[in-house]
Amino acid sequence: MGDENNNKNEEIKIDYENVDVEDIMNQIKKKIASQPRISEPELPAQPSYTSTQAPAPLQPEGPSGKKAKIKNVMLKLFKPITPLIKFLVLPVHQELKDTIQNLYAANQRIDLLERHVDENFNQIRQKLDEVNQATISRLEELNRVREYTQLIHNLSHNIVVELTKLKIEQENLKLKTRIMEKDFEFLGKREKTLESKVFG
Amino acid sequence: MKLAFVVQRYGLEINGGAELHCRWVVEHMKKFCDVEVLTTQAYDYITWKNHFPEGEEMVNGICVRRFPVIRSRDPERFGRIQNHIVDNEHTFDEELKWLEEEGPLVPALIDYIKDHENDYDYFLFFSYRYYHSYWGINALPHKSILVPTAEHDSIIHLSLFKDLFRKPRAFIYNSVEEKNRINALFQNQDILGDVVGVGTEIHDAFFPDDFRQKYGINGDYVIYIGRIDENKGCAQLFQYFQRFKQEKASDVKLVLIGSSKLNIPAHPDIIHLGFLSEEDKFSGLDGALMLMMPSFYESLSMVTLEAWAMGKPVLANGQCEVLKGQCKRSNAGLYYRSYFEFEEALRLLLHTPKLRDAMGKNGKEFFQQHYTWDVIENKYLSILDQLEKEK
Repeated sequence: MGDENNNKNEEIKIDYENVDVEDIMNQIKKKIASQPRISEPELPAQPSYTSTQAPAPLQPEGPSGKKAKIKNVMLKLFKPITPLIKFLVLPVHQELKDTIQNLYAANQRIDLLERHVDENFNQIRQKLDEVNQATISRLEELNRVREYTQLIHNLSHNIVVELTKLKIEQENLKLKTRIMEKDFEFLGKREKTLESKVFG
Repeated sequence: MKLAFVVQRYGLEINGGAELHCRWVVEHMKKFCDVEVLTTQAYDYITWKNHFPEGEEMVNGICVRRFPVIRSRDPERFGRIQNHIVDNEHTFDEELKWLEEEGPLVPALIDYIKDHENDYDYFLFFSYRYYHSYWGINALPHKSILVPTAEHDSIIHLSLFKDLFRKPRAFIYNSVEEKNRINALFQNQDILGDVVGVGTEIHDAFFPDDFRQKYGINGDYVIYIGRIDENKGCAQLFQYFQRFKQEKASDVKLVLIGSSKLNIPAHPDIIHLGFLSEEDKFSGLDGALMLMMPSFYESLSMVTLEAWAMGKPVLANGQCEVLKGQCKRSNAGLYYRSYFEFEEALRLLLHTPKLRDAMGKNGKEFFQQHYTWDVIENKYLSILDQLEKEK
């Protein structure tokens, strides 16, 4: 084991003078969360445990061929007194063994489910992070659009106000023009009257 | 002062957690007080069958009084009753029936305690869940000190223990987690109690090279020491270790020391050595890179303390609150709750000798601070002093 492998652990920062186990464990948890592990490699030693399908509960192995036929005949013959036989032979070693095997298989299934939950948790967490990021960017965009709309609204309002002012100004100017035209007309008539009086 | 230590089994051959814990404490308290042990004739913790002779016996200079178990435990019947108690609504009488079935059923021991109340100043009961503790504490609550050694199991919620945890004069806890859990469940913070645990003794000299040669172990290895049992998390450890080996192509070996009640996978790098002498055990631990502690339920892991005393880091099962708490407080071990955490933590420890050294140093300091015998003895004496002052 050597220092040459230390770079593998560079993600975990450790103050060797003041080791803080809780901090190291938090870093380990973060590291695991950031590297979701998807597939479960199979272990040759215990294939049922590591396969992606949950192992089915173990069934007790039964005899085959002639043995099975004989067993079936015997079972039919002894069917009426089966409960008594069962009662007399309790606890049956084979039954206990089967029960233990079933419990063991159930344990394996639970372990597998637990591992799947772990994996799914990481995947769900990653997806949630992505959705969160997308939501944040959409929200930022929406905020920008809202501000832009507000500006447009203000601008429109101001334009309407200015146009109204201009319209009033225009009306005033028109009125003034008309008055001036009349004054001019009056002055023209007066000029002609005076000219006829002076030169006429 | 005369103390009686009351425990379910006692003897040099008995290596069970609470029983060994009791024996070590007794042998150390002998320096300060007059001590006796009140126990059963049982050797086997599953059936409690009488094995040792009845009466007085001297064990390492300690007077041990043994009382007969009047009915052995039938594991099948006990299992049925326990399942009923745990899974269904039930009456108080059914709980008492469960306690009788669990045993060890030693009414003579309880009678002795009642009859000899004045011969002893205090009775220290080990393991809350057994017959001797329940009826012993109920008989003499004013002279009782309880060392609960409570693991994280559902039995503690039985109603018969509600009163029990409010009766003794004092509690001696194994860990901070155990104290917190019991205080939270029974609201007994007002009763004198301290986290003490147990000390351990480490051999002066280790011979890791001889160990390797003797058992033919080459290369780096991690070690598990203890009973190889499903309840101790060994099945999960084997699964995780094999998967780690396959995925990471690591050369590391897993050495197992202890008797096995589980099928050990036939893997070239999983080496089971069986039950070894203390000398070989410590030499093996000294040569290991770290101790693996996969147990789900521990009230105090002595072997973890031994590893820390020897400056070895620990990789523990984080589902055990006590182990996790100890790793955090000592900063001398990592823990895992899933395969991925196991993989990362093991890889980190294997590939970072500097971290192993730093954690080993922390473990030694933690051990020196809390678990040397001087510290443990002083804590026991302090509790007894406080009780004497309250008299």
